[in-house]
Amino acid sequence: MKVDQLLPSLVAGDAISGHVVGVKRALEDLGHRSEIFVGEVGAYPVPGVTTRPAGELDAAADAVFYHLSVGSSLTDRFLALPGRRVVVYHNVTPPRFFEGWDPPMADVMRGGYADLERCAPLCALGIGDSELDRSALDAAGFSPTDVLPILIDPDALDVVPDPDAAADLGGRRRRGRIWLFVGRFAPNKCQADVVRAFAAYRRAVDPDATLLLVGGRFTGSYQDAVLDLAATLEVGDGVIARGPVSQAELAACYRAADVFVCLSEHEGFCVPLVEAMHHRVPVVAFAAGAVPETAGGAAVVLRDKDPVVVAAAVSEVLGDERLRAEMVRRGSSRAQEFDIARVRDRLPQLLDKAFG
Amino acid sequence: MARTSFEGPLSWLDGAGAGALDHVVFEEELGTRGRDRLRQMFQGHLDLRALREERIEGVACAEGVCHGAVEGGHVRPLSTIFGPVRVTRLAYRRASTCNAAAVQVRTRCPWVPQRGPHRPPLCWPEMRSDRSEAPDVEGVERRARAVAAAWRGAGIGRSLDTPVRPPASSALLASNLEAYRHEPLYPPATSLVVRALRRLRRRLTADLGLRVARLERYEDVSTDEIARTLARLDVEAAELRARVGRLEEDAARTPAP
Repeated sequence: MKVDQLLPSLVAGDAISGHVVGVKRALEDLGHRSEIFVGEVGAYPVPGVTTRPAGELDAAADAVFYHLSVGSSLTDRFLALPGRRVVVYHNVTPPRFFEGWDPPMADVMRGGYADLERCAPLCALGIGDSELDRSALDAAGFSPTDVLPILIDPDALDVVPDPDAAADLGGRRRRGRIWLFVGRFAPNKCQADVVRAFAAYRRAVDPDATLLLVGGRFTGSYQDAVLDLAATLEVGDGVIARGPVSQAELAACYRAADVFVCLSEHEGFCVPLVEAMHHRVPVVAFAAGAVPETAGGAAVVLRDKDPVVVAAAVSEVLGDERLRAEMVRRGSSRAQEFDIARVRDRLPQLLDKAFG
Repeated sequence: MARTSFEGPLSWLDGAGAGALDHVVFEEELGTRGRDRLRQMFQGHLDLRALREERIEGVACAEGVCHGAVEGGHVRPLSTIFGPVRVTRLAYRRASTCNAAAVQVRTRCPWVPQRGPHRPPLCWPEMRSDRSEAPDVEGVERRARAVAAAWRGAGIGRSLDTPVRPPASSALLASNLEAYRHEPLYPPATSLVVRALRRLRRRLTADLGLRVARLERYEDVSTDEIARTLARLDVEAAELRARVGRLEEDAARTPAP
């Protein structure tokens, strides 16, 4: 059988791109042929992975997995294909987050919702990254639906940390605790709220703490505003924005971090939570989107994102070694549940469902 | 006492007074009465712990100094989400040092910020989970709220509600264009971006026009200043238009999907 995949672009370091590559390898392990077709060639191609332009998609595939997270003209091409059509839904960020910050992106997200509804009646299966995404597929009219968590390859995470980054962060760690958040700079990720909580923590507990914000400059104006806020709250010297980073630099960041703090208000899965757990970093997160589902009881999930409460929660976790150790233990166990080897065993069932 | 005080809200709920209130007032009143009863229960529980507390040998503070002498009936205030309560317990003392309870307060309270990484935690029964029990991950938020209440009282929350706002449209365009050019994660559909950028360019032109019109209304601004400002705006607009143009060219060169 030939099962192809289609997505806007394949970019190194991107969670969806990693998932697509994992699905391709899993399909090949199962004895299927599989190719990846992209709308645009990204600026950071994934090493060792060959892609073909979407224009070369033909009728040869028995099934095509279309990875949908934004509005795209690829949807028309996908819906015109004769084989089994499967949408893999990675969640569309609600446009309201981009209003004011990035109006074109808000339009792109609105296009994503429209594309999802167009696909529903013409697809054999809808697959979500989480139960949250699956419920969105159900609401859009997909039937049947299922869940395939994002594939996370532990070998890709366990790279040797970048020595320069490790040395720099090691020096900071000797002075104070290191908070980490990983995610592109975008209003729905709420890095501004992390900065507020961090400011409270510096005032109350550790004036030498560092906040590491790792992620691409997705919404440039928002990143500028977050860093301005850090300066206004007089913690600008402790806030470092890095990104995009290599896997080795990312490993150095996780290795140095004392706590991972996520106050995002919209997540379809949140891969960095699992990455942090894999790297034995305790997680404190706000209960929004799929975060509680992905955390699975292995993180402190707050219903309140009041910055002082968040800071106090981090202080609780870092101030109680037994609690921290328990969270690390639970996190490691939870991360193993998303191991690529376990998750890809579900692929045959999903293919059966698509052809059922 | 805590047990009997719980009966108060029940009898109030049962009475005619509560029945006469509308939903909003009833909700507020029930919240106030309920929180006070919870505070009393909290206090009752702390008093019970104080009665049951036994002296422990070999208590050391965060610096590792052993506190051998004990002062019974030591009382300190504690802020909780239900209101203030009093903690009564044994305080372990040592000559020429503060007692262990005070050391604990210093490690947890904001007015004496720590330098460097956290010190080793003290495991006082009322603040930390019992060492014989599994750590209470689920209870962190509850405990954090109580700690946060005290921190807020010490001014930790000041100015944290400072909002982040999008900049004016010209600066917004400049920031986001740079992001589009250099961080093409999840690149959106080319045609949509180009369409949106054209709309933004129109907005930018309108914005510049508006700014000039506002500037002209200031009578005390000299002609020279207006000329300088207009020249600067022209340069800014030209740069932005050039950036939009380059982006559109890039988009046009991208193979159609």
